[in-house]
Amino acid sequence: MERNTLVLAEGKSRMDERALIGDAQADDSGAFATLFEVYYGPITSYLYRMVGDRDTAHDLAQDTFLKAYRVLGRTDAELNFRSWLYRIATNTAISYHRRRQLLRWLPLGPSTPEPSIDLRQAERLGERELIEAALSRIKPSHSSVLLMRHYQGLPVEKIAEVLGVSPNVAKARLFRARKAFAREYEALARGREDRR
Amino acid sequence: MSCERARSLLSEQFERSLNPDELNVLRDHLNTCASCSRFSETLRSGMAGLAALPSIPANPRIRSAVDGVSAGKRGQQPWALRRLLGQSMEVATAVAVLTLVATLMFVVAGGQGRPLQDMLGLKPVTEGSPGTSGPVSVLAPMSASDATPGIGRDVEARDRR
Repeated sequence: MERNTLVLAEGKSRMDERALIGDAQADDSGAFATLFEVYYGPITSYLYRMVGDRDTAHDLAQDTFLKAYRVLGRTDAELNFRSWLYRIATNTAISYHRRRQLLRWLPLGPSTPEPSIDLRQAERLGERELIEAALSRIKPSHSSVLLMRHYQGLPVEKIAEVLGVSPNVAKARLFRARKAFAREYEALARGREDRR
Repeated sequence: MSCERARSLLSEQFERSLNPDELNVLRDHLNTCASCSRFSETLRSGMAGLAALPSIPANPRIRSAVDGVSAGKRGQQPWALRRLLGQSMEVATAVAVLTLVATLMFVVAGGQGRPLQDMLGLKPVTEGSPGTSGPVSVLAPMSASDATPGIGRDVEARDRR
């Protein structure tokens, strides 16, 4: 099963995946289950890095696949499933961030975990935590492109498809995201060094 | 070369190989600009760190459900599908209950000699003209006089007089 996942993910069996997508579009739940298995791990990990909470990531992944399942029958025969799925996941995560932002303004709203790490806590951070902290301090639209490019390994052309923009615009967004990330990463790293 | 241009090239390096001219100018800039040099290092370690972040392990419950599907056990659907099927089942159940209630009402009403549209206050209206292919029956709300045959017609005849 793991091998099947890898084969499809690496694009060595594009025809198989195309056929699977066609079957899933024709309401074959078995075909959708296979696609679910292939993409569930990467999508959940991507969402986890977007929101910083494991349970939330599982919930958002579930929402992503539900949305995909509902709409798949009405999509083009030439659908790029991976880009399309990442677009749904990205929009789902950004909506989650917006809702959370809104709840912060409501005095009686449920308290939600705050993943962002204060500079004063930076001294205790290891290298991985530093990366995660920097990621949590930038805008979701920035973290999404960085994660797609560097964590999930999507090429710029695919990211452009996910965002519905040209490759040049996607490159420009990546540049802005890298600058934002570097700013936070540097600040956290400096905070860590100062307190040691 | 401006710092912005240098940083843009540093970012571009992740997508393509810079040409020799671009590389030379960038190298010269980094040798003289401490800020961009630091940015270059941060970018390099930061992006490498992002790539090395671990994936989160699959939920075993979900994994076994997926394995069940791949093994041909149709009863075990992946959790996302199961939730969707659960929702579909709720809708199907609601439709089935409504159909059952409507059928029971029809049977009960039929047993007492009153058609269902009587109970709901509706009457069949036949529309059509000699030129049309046939009458079109629609249901329209009934008046009180319609519900008691005879009386209404008498009143209408009296009004006409």
